[in-house]
Amino acid sequence: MPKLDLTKATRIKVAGGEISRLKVGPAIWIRPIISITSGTGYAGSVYTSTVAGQWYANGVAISGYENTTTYVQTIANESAVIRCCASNTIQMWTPEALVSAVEYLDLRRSDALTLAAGRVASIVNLIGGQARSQNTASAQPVYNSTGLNGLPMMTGSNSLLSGNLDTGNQSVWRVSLALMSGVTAGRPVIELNRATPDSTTPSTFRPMHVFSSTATGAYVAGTTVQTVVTDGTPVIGHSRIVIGGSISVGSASVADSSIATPAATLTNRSTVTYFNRASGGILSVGVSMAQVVIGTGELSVADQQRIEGFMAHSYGLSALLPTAHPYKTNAPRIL
Amino acid sequence: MSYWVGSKSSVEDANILAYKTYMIDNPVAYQNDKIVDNPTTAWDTPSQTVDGSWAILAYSGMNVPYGCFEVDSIEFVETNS
Repeated sequence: MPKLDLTKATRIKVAGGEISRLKVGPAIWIRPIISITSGTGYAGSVYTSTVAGQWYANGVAISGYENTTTYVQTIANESAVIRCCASNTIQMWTPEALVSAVEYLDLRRSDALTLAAGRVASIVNLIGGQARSQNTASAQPVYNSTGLNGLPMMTGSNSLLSGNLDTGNQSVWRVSLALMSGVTAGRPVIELNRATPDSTTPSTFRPMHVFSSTATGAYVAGTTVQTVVTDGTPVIGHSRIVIGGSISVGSASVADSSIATPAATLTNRSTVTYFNRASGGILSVGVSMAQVVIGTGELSVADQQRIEGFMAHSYGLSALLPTAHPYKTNAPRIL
Repeated sequence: MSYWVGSKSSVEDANILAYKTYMIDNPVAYQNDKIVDNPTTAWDTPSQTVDGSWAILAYSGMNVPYGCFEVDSIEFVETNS
């Protein structure tokens, strides 16, 4: 095997360029280390590498970041494994990682929206791929690109977005980032699912009920789930989830008695409805929504907290999380 | 926000007229950077009011259609949806 003796070489070209001077010494390879230097890791956050190089998302080279020390996270890559050359990897937690999740709407995902005359005509479920549509103009939620902490949200008032959702014969849970402007003006809320109703709940508060199936297929009232503002103040309106019937997110005018009525028939297909006016013509409060995650089965406390952490940090609202929340400071990560 | 109120047929006609005007004003919709045909198929859904007449949301900028009158608020018959 021929040996390359660099001490006898007169001309060396590397990548078309001639090297005029060589230094003799041991080769040193420095592995880049990446970290999040601005933001919490979600869209808009800045990732920095100790060595300039090509950045990758899920192993695919990111265009525009061929030889840089910084990368600005995009919403399209939010759930991807990020690295620079052969660096360590970072992957943020998003609802797409939750196996029990069947529905994930995110108003930041402009690629999932169809906007007509400034209103949301449809929004695609980022997990299931189904479109939640409203073809009647006056009922389409109003889109506001900077409505919640400078990021997008939609506002429904007498509005409906609906579509089918295959949930099977299981309990269904949901967590949403929403703003009930008619009740608690200007206060962004993250709805927390609580197993035990808060004793300080006002009498006018209407909890969300979950109905669970039994072995015989009949439904019985399940755990009462409460909607709570993240600063600990009990809230506001309510939503309901009924297995095998309809799932209403953002309802605000359903009478308590009607909430407690489970679906009459058991089906494997539910209809998910956003901004359900329920009864009467108009929602009694304005409901704005930024993100919703719906899933089947039981939502563990750990996963619930991950969703809350994701919602809070992706919208820059971590200050609203309770002090003791595990993702109060740092957003949930997979890697 | 105001409403057009009238008989069922008058309000249905008003709804069709409002939709035509809406589509002239908004022929396209936007999917990210892509322009598509506006998928909207109706302006509003006529609903019955508590006094037995019918109403739809008024289309801003249009004159009140024939057979209807305009009101600022209205009470609909409750229906479960």
